[in-house]
Amino acid sequence: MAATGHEDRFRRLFADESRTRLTRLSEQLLTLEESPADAELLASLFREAHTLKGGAAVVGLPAVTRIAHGLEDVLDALRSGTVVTSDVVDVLLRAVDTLRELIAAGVEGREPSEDVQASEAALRALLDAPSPIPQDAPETPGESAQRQAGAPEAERRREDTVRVSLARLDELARLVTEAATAQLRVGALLARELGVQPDDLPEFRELGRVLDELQDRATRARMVPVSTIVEPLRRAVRDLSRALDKDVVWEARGADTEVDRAVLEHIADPLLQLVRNAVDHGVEPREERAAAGKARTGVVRLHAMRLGAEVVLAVSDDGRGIDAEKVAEAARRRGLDLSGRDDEELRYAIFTTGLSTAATVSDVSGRGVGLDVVRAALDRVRGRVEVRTEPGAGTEFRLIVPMTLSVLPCVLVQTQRQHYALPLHAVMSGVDIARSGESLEGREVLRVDGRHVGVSDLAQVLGLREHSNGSGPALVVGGLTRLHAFRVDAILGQRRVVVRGLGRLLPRVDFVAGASVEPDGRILIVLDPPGLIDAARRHQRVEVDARGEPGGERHRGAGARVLVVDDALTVRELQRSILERAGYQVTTAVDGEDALRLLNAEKWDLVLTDVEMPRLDGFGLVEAMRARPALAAVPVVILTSRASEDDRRRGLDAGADAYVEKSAFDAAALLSTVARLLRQGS
Amino acid sequence: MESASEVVPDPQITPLPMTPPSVLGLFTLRGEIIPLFDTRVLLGLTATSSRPGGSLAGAQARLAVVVHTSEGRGALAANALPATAVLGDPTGPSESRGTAGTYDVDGRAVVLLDLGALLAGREPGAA
Repeated sequence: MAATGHEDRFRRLFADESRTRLTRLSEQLLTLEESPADAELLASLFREAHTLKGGAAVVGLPAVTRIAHGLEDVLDALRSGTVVTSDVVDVLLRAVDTLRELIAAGVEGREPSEDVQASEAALRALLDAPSPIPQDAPETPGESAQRQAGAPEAERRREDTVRVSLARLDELARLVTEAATAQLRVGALLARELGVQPDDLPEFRELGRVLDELQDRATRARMVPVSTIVEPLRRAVRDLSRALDKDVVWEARGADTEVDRAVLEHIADPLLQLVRNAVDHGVEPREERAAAGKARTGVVRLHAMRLGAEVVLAVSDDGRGIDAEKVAEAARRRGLDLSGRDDEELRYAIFTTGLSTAATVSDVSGRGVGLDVVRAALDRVRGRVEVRTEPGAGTEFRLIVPMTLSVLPCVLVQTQRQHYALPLHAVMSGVDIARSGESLEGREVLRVDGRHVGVSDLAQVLGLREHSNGSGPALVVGGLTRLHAFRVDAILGQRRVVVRGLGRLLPRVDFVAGASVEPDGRILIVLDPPGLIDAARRHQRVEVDARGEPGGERHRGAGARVLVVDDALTVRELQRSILERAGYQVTTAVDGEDALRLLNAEKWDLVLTDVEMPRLDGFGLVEAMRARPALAAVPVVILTSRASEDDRRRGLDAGADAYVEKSAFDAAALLSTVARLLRQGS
Repeated sequence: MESASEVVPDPQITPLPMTPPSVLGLFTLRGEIIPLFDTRVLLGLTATSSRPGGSLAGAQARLAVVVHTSEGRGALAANALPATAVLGDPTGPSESRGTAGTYDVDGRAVVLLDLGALLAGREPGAA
């Protein structure tokens, strides 16, 4: 039955509303498992199921109605004395999952992936089974009071709220920022035209103060309490501990701490991953715990708290802790070479994909420990993670995230007469150094806290200048496992910066996080630390390659003439800029025929060509070159988006010396291939 | 005309590191950050950018024509003040990418820009 536009809208409203209702149902079911005789709770559960059933009927979702009805029946039976066991709760929780999927499918107009019949049957089975003799397990007065206190709070919160789209809140925040900028321009105008110092005017200062507060409130409007993502964590602990037959108790503290909604969305999955790992790998089975003199029941805890402009979310367990030996062992087993890494990096090696310290990879918590998902998510919200572990006692992962993404404390620097901002959380320290003179594997390094850290000139890495100054202040920038120092012309100070994305019209630049408008109207480019460190390392590799073997002869790299052949302008220009920066002389041709014309006219040291071109394609060009004695020895690199084995073989058969795929376009790989071929030729 | 909203004379351009030659940089308009593109490079009319010596410093444009596309606001660099005109039927096809036909305006041949196509090019090697 196709839904009309009208029905569609109501279905979506129902789905919206049901989302919170189903979360509440789930939460209450988990609580019911702990206090099975709680009559109030049962009554509340029944009401939720009942309302859900009614709503589904109205918007025409019969499958949902049937399951909700089944749920109602079971809850009714529980109210009348049937005992609540974990098996019963299992079935009810799965019914909630089914409802979620059915509602989502109903709104999206597709077939549900859940089996409605099976779900109904499971619910009915509960009613038919002979009920065990009810055991007396009255909840303690403390538990009862706590729960009752919780319920009216929730009711109140639900009533005086309004749903607002995130887009509207963002728009509001943008307008407030514009107002703040406008105020500053008025101030500048007053000074310029009337010779008045705006800060001397109380009205001006008052306006500034109000706008500051407005901006603060606008960003806070996007904040939501951590409790919104706690339910799936609690559920995961329960389900997983049952599946693994371990006794684990869940605790959540500080769940009313508020975080920017976008930030919370990004870390919800990583938190889930950490919690699952805690139950799976952290907490030991009962016997092991008893043997170690610990309580048989393990604890997995989430503790959220605000620290200044950041929020700390700590997931901890009192399990067996992380064994560093086992991490190294697991890495070796996987063929991962950790030998070249710093001590710091070794400790955080558990964040590498696929590394697991469990003797067997358990299906239950996914592929191994896989904490790289945590690191990736934190990078995206400019957060960081700290690990504390004590073998035998337990482990704590602390996720530290900014309270809000819109305003970012930054360090401002100047290089090559431009201003750039670096997020403060990624700046480890500032160092005032002349050229350090220390060199490691051909790269310049700095000693920081006993470690060797690579040094680059920021302007060089950004492509602003060819050669570095060699001296000047440097900032040590870092992420979880990597550090790199960047030399700048001057460090200007710290400031809170309102970061804006650059929009979708611009091609993405790896190390630019966004931009901001300064009070004086200038644009400040905000750099992205992980991308910047990547770029710096690529740049250093290129430099080393260009210099040739350590202590070896100068090869023909510098000044070699390279012909770039491609019919796309932007590809030609991109390759030109990469090659020219590495010191080659570049000329371009638009297709094979054009290239041949140039090759016959002058001498070239290497040809870099695309395959698909009009008039004469890459393969044709290579064959033509090999047919002419004068051109037969010129090295040719085929650079293309065609990646099949056949194409590669065809290219090499035709006489090409190397075949590089465009899809994995990596400037460093390209340059090292070019350098290698030129060295062989000389 | 619906796509072009205003013309900004002599915009203050902030260069953006490591972008293709088609991007001149960023400038602000009433607090909003807008990317500025080199129209000649986008159209494929020149092989190199207007940036002197290909370096980042000193990118300039006489005028920036602010346009709206489905992906947001952007600006195209222009050398002469645009004039408005009503286009009749196209007098012929156009060859450069990002264009949609040739028209006759007061005896001069004028090429119509297709902004969506012009600005939609995703550079290989960038995400």
